[in-house]
Amino acid sequence: MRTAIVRLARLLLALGLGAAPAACGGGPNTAVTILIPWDPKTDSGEYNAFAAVINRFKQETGIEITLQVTRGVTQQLDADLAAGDPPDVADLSSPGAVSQYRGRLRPLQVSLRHYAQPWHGLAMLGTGTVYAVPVKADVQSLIWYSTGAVRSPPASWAALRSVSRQRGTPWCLGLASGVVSGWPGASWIADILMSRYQVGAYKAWLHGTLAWTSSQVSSAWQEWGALMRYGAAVPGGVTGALTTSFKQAMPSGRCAAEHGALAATGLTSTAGYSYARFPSASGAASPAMVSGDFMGLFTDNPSARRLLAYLASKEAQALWVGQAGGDAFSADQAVRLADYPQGVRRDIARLLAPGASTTLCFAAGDLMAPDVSAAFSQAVLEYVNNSHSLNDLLRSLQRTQRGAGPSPVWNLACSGRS
Amino acid sequence: MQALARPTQPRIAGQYRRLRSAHPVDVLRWLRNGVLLGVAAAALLYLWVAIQAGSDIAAARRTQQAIADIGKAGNAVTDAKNALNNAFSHEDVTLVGTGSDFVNQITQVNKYLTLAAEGNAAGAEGTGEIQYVQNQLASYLQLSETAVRDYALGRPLGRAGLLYAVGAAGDVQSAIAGLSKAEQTALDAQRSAWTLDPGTFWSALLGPVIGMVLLVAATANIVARHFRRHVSRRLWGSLLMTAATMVTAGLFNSADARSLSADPWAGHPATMAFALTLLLAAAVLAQLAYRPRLAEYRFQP
Repeated sequence: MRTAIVRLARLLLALGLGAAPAACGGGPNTAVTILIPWDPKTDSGEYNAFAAVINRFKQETGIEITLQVTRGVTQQLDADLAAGDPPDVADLSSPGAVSQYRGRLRPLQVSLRHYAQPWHGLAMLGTGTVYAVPVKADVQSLIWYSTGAVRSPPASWAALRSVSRQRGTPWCLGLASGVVSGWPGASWIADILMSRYQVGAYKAWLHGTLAWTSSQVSSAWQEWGALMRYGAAVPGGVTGALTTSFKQAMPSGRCAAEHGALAATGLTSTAGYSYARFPSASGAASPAMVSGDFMGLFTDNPSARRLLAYLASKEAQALWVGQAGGDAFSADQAVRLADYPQGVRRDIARLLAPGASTTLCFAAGDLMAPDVSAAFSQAVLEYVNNSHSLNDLLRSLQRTQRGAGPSPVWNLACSGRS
Repeated sequence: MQALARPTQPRIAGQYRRLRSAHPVDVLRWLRNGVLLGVAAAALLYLWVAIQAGSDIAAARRTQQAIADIGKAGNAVTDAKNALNNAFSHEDVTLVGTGSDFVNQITQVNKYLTLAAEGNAAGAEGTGEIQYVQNQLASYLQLSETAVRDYALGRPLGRAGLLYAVGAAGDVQSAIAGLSKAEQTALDAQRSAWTLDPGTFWSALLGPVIGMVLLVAATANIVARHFRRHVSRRLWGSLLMTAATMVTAGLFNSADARSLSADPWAGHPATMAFALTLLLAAAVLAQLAYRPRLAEYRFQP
């Protein structure tokens, strides 16, 4: 009897020792891997800002975080998913990508009730389920200018055109961006379309009911071409625009003004620079074009769920926007203006604050079907190369649109009902 | 734990008393069995180390070859980039496209990636990295072809297209570097397998020898104290042969592990045959060494 008890005790001990590692493997403090696009060498500001947010989480929870950096997040993600070894969390830079991975993303139990539209709706893809957390926001409808070189702020169309008329090469334009080269021009054109024809036309364009060959879309292209003086207003002319990286145009100091988000200007300091909201051409208050990064969950790792809940929290969002580098904004309206560094960022953040009356629309290129978005960027390059080809390009884009279909999230593109 | 330990203490004490009171011939018989067991253990451990090391070396060599193939794929990307630059500088790309040299180099990249995939030791991570390289390569090809097409639309656009393609070639190189790093990590893990780790395999090979040294020393002591004789030279010979065999096997295995030899010495059939013959001879010598004393008292109970 005694021997039997001893044997049983030994068996239980062995089972316990064997089960312990298995239990620890799936425990609440499993390490988390995150796929991010911010390279510590080339995007040190954005990387360091994110690392600061993550470090706080690590300190508070003891959960280890591994950051996997790649410029091609969706390509790496596709490869990892095909190999059956996805990262726990991946940064998706567009709602189009969130929609594309909808079937692979784990639904999240986080509250986004303080998040502004359109990020709130896009994170849920128009359903009641949260598919991703809009961890970072940006405002694209801005004109940055050197206060020493631009006489009057380009806050109206007349002032914008007067910048173009300045002698030399006033406009900073860098279209080189790897496989998505051309997107800065696409962003310009989308902003002009929205400024001239308001939200209704913008959404109709995304839906495909406003054709690429329509007079509205065509005039937006022509207006942009005229502003750039068909390359003559850009350092290096057409070749300069085509071969300069989007983050190198303004810091080169060879031009005075640039369109786009602060993070895309490549400026390490805004001293000597100011900005103006992209002006309205229609007389009505102009909507503002915005963008953002979404983080989605690809595994059942409970630590990764905790991390995403943390990233969605006001605490993490306030910490992120408070970082000096990275130029991040938050779609979480619980984040106070005082959480932003003083200066232009706090000023821009007012556009996202509760009660702001500006209609916000997500950047068109990030909402379109992937083939249409790629064709749009390529068409920009061809238009810069030869502005006479516009009608052919628009017909090609219309054909591409017909084949690829409307943006999967066109109806969620803008805040408000307009 | 105390409850479990308590009954074993009297048992050990009892066994020690039995050993002290045992007849020296009985002890000699146990020692002989121990020495023979030591030789058998040495033979088995040698076989285990040699066969397992051969298998581990073969796996590590496949990974090493995969890393070499990945390096060749990286070189082929550099050559493809140069070929594309040449096509844009010296040839009419509107007629020749990206050029035959570029196409050949891309074929080489694909070939080396396929070979590397066969030797992938990094598991799912390695598979993911290989697919990532292939995705980046597809982007590079697409941008190269777009550059050629754009060249027909105008020189600035063609030149810009070439610049984007060159950037994409850099992305392929980065992806290849990531793949190489993953495989190198896997190779380092393979090289630290116990059969290739000197600290571990030397312990395994010399363990039986150390055991035999203790048994022979005990034999010498008993023979001297109870029989007033010196221990047989055959026993020393047996110990020496076993030790020499195991040290030689260890040295061979050490050299094999260091160079990841294609034809490991330790596991070579000739080495194995020779080593096992020596160990068999060592066992015979040990048996013969103990026989006179055991025969002398063979009628002892």
